[in-house]
Amino acid sequence: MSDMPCFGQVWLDAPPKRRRALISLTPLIDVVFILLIFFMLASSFLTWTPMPLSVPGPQAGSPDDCGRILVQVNADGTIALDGQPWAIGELTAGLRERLATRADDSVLVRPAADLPLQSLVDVLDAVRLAEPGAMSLSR
Amino acid sequence: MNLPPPERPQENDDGLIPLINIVFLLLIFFMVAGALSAQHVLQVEAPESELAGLVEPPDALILLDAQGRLAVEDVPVDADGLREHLRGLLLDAESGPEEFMVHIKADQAASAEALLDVMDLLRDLGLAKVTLLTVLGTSS
Repeated sequence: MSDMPCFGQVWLDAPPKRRRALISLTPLIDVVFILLIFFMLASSFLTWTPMPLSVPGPQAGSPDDCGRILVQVNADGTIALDGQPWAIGELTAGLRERLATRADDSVLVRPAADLPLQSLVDVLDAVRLAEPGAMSLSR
Repeated sequence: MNLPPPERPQENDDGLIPLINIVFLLLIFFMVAGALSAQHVLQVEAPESELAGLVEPPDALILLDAQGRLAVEDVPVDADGLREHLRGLLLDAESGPEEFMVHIKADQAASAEALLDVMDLLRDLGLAKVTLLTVLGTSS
């Protein structure tokens, strides 16, 4: 204990002097920031998903339409199933019921001319959930 | 009264290292998670759908914007131009019209009439593989 220099004091080696970095970090950060902003602006996170469309028949009301299930979509987004007004939430269930009983399992969707595409896609989603044998658009 | 001398700013960049760590992580996230995509000639905001699926690369991409303007392969065209352009693409393709895959990227505000017009035109050309591109939606 006699070689301690002072009461209660322990001498430690001073840390070695820090060597100055070869390159400064500031330009590196500038470049990284620019890259970050580029990738933030240029990348897209959209998940694309396909919706197969079958091309409409030559004319509306052709004889082969008779047996099909007809879904009409009005311009305000309301729908009619085989001519009866129908709630869009019930469309899948109504279609399943009809598909189970009918021989012809194809569904014809007839949108109003000025219907926005988003409303049409909502209806087509509901139709596809009912898993018809075929789905086609017509005028 | 003597005030302590103001602290000298640090000479080295030690304080910046946590910042750089975060910025690097963000950079790597955006590089890996985001997909770089080319801009189209028409601005199209695709409708949302809830059914997922795999998108295969098409033989031709048709754009339809909210005002009903058309473009095929990023060339703005009218209906006749679209027919001519597709005819040219069909002649160059090895596969026949039955195998020729067409994608339609239409705006969610475009009218159903405009879409049906395009599809009528495709039917007249004998094209059967038509797909509407939608964005996987999270709503409802």
